[in-house]
Amino acid sequence: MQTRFTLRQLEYCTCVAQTGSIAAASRLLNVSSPSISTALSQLEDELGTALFIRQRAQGLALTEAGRTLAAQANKILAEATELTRLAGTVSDAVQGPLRLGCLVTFAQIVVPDLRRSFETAYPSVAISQTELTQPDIFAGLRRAEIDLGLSYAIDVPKDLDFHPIKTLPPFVMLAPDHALADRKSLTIEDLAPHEMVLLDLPLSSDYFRAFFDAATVTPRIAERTKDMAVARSLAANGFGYSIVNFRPIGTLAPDGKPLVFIPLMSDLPPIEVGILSAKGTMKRRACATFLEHCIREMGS
Amino acid sequence: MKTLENLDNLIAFDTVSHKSSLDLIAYIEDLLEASAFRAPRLPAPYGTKARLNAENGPEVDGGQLLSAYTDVVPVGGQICT
Repeated sequence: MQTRFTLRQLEYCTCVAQTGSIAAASRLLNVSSPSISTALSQLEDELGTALFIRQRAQGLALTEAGRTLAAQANKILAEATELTRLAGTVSDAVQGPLRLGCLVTFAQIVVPDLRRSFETAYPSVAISQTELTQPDIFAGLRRAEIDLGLSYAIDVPKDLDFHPIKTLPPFVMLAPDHALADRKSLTIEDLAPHEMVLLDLPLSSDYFRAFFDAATVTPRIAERTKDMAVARSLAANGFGYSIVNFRPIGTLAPDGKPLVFIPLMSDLPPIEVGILSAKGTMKRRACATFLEHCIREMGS
Repeated sequence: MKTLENLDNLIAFDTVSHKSSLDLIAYIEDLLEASAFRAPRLPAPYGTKARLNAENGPEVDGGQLLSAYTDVVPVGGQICT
């Protein structure tokens, strides 16, 4: 279908049909008479028929064809108004499904708490969560399999938006009987002679390596794991130190053993945690509201 | 200000030769009648155009009668300069 008339032309046409003159329509629509006149003749050209008889005595009267076409134009305008209303309902209300992909390394610390407080405040939003690596968050947003990603500002590609929530300084995670456990702060040089438990996930491991590269130190990687819970328990059981940005609220490893967290001094800027989204997603009220909620709950 | 607005509107009507001038004529009729002119319309025989006289004052010798035409010559498709 190739239509070259516009909704505006239809709107002018139906208004002239109702008021019976261009001058009256001009006052009602607050549009100049010549603009309305031009729109009418363009519409008549496009439809290939005269819509109005321009007789002085009766003002502008619809032709037989004009009567049929104006009735249809009214239906189209009503449908167009409905489309706008529907779009408003969909995007303006804080409602609907919200698919959240959270970075697997800290999902267990933040997501359940965020969801509970958000879903209590906005019961019309149904959040579903998945735990993903950084590349999978990027891919999920691009394929529209998730609406929002909760992650770090690491290697964020240009086609996605990053909305910062807060910056997180790095900590060294250790067993309480580790040789470095009683220090107030630590540097990469302090860590160099000790064994490390590496959280070996895409981009995360690059991020940890950047600390050592900046200090031109090579870490002694003793253990690798793709599971943050395993990394905690390995550290708590003396298999090495690890570097984290999110500290759990309690300081116990998943196996119940205690851990200590010591600030890591580094020239690298602290990492930012925030919401990742595809372009335009934040126009949805539910998504923008979730971001505000994250900033309120997690920001400091 | 009203004058400029009226002039803006008058030149904005698309009354190039092959098109109808009746919307413009109706617009001028409204203007004239709002200013206490009589504005009898003289339709062209082919129906899509009309001429307008503007009369003011008593209908006697020496009264006012204004007449103007509204046709616009198109600038495209011709060799005149």
